[in-house]
Amino acid sequence: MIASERGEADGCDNPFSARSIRPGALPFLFPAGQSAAQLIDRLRLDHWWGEIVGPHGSGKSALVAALIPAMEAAGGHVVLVELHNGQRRLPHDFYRAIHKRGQNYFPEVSSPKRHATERKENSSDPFCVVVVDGYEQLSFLSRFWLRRCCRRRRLGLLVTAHGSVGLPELFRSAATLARAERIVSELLRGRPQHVSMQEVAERFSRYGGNLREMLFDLYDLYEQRRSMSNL
Amino acid sequence: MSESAVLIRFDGNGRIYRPGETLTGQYRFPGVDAEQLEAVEVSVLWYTEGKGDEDLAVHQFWRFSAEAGGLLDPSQPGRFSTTLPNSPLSYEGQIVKVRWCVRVRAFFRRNKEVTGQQHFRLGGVPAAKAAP
Amino acid sequence: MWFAVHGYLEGRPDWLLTVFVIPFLAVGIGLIVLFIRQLLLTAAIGPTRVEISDHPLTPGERYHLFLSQAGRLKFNVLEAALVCEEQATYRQGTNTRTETRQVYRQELLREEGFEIQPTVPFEKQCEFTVPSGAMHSFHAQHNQIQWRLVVHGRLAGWPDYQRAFPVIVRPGNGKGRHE
Repeated sequence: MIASERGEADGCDNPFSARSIRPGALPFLFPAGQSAAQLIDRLRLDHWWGEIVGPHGSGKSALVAALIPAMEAAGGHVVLVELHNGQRRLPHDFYRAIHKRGQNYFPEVSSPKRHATERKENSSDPFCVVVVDGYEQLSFLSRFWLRRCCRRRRLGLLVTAHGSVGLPELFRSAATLARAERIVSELLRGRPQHVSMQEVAERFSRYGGNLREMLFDLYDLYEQRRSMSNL
Repeated sequence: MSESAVLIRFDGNGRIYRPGETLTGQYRFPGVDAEQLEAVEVSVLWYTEGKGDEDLAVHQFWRFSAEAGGLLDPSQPGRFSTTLPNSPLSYEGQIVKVRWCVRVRAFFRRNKEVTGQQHFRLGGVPAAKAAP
Repeated sequence: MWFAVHGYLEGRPDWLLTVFVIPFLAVGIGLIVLFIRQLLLTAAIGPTRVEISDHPLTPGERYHLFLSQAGRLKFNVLEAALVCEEQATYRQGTNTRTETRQVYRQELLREEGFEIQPTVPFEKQCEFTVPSGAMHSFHAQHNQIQWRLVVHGRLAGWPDYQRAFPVIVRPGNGKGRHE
């Protein structure tokens, strides 16, 4: 925790700035009855293979940011790949890194004839999960090689996508107005309330539930109100 | 050990600094047990805020650790001093802001740490308004 | 398209093929027209030259500007301005977006209702002062503050054009580099 960080610049901070709303900056708001621990348990049952599915700006990357520390706390090692702007292939050093880490965690895999059942599933076994944010951008061939690599090395694979890509569904993200209001309330906590919930609802509707677009629009509104109040 | 904040104070008492001037100040950790403190890092840095992803650069950095023989006495305030550069100046823009601060991180036993930061203004650039 | 035309020439028109081809034909003709128009516009608007008495610029200092516009056009308005823009790049999910916001604009010169002849370029000079509290040029990976001299022309019967010339504004430390 950075002490005296909030409001440090004499209340000049805009709570909707990129660093405040980036995935991981805020605690992920799980639907009632769900938690990171539950999702980790479900992922474990599926041998650490899963997909997080949802429309644009619904919080997929934010959920990934919340699950990574939970996976690491459960004894896992996470390799995160964030794909952007039509990136059709994985980074060039990715397979080298996986090869190294896969061997460290699963030394018996070097003999490919061993079957998965020979390895006892133990909750304290170390594990490695490859997390690909934006999986559907990969070409068919890249996806094929990635899945093959993860299967052979007994690595987990958790992906985000706008639609199902054939992995076990771990979470289906959806933006609701209630969730949007909770996020905005959290961002405005302890700050001047330059934005009303009515304006949040209006923008939520305007952007069709895309929380990211809504928050960026609120940035401009907050900035405008803050400038006027400083006059 | 209590999770107290790090308190940072500038000798200039919140004034605006000019490029080339010396920024001096002190930091302390109220209520901290000396035996728990392992290391302290002090940074003078700038970072951006606004609609863009964060950019950051460290102007000056110090690390004091008990391991390296540095004297760590939380009952006494630590001091810092640095000559400020010509740029970038502090800037309150519409979608891009540039902020300067001093950040102090204290590391304790059992992997605990606490961080505090205090902003200061470099240069007197007025806040930007959207052009008509 | 050739098969459609061939069918007509042989007296055996294929209506289905004709209907299918029409949208492609329309787009193709539109692109050709656009291309020719753009080519003519680029040829008609000659080079734009901007010269300033010193560079980089310092806040609070005064400078001379010389503008030369060649071509063969009728102008409704030709203006030059000193502009400051903030540019912020952010990741939006799997996309990277850049947003630009103009935060300062100073009109340096403006000329209305005139014509440029091919052999006689339009030339004008003026003086301008960079505001004393101006933020300096700033360039980081995701955030930038850019200053530019922008020449904007509104033409009779043609689309507007704009040409921008980046300039550097150094930090306003006072006179010269040191106080």
